[in-house]
Amino acid sequence: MKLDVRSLALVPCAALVALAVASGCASTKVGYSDPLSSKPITTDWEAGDLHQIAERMVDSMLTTPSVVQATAQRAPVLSVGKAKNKTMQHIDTESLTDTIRTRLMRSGKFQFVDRTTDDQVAEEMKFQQESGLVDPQKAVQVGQQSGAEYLLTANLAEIANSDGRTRDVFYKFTMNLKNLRTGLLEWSEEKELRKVSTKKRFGF
Amino acid sequence: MKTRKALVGVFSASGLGLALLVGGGCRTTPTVKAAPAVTVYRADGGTDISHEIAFGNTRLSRDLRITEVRRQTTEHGLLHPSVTAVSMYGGTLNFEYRFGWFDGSGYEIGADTSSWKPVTLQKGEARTFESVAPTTDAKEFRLKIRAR
Repeated sequence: MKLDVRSLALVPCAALVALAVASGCASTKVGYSDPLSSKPITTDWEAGDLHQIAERMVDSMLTTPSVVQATAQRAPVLSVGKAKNKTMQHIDTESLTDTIRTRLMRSGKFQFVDRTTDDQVAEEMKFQQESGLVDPQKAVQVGQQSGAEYLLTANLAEIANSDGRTRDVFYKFTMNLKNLRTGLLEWSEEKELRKVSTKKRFGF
Repeated sequence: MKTRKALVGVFSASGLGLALLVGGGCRTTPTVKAAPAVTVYRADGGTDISHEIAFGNTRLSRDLRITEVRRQTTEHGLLHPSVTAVSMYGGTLNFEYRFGWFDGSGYEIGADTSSWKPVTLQKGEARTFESVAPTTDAKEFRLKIRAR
């Protein structure tokens, strides 16, 4: 058997071409995209879902007659409770309520107390009162904080179905505004989202 | 020698002009642009003209018929517009929309806060798009509609 030297020379060339093609397929393109885009990538919880729901909730709250009446003359104090995540996914619901709180604050119609940082606040106050390093005239006095008049609570639930090719996920986000003095719900709103993905029969 | 001086003068003037242009460009802030006139077909048969709706392409402006533009304000002073549109397209029409907000001087407010919202309409189906301005500074709005 006689080996053709010219054929042998082609082997490394073919290998190089194959390597180039393979590495081309595996290349990753990175870029910035519109953070407020509505284009979904999967049926999982995504940034676009968060923005849609936050806007809908804030719009509803700012136009509900009972809330409009309560905020017409002054900005009532609200506390945001932790949103319950009843889905099977790991979702940062605090991020969702943070977005809602930011939008409500920007409207100038509400004031907020933040109970999530109370431990740090207590530590700082203790330091100011007891360390001896802070001028007593300038130290923050204990017991003068505002109390919340309303509590904002939320739930996120999902119903997911799949038949192999099609995956259908229904999200329902519910928010309630409770008047802490009367115990009455002053406002309640639901927002639903439905996301469907279908696998193609052919192709990758 | 004179020619060289003249050339230097011309280049200096050009450089200054370019610098002014660039400097002027940097000072530009997003302001409300006069959107093309859109006809509003009222339920009573009459028509109005609105400059508050911006379509991403001319096909969408043909497929979506605007039937009502309401410029209302909440009791506590937030702009609360609503726009109703009907799909004239024969099949399923997919698009997305968002509201833009502008203060009294025409400067955009909270450009990065209003997200695009997807909509699907069948032929003859109507939908009302509404939103509330992020602050009481917002005096004008634009409804932006684009294909998705």
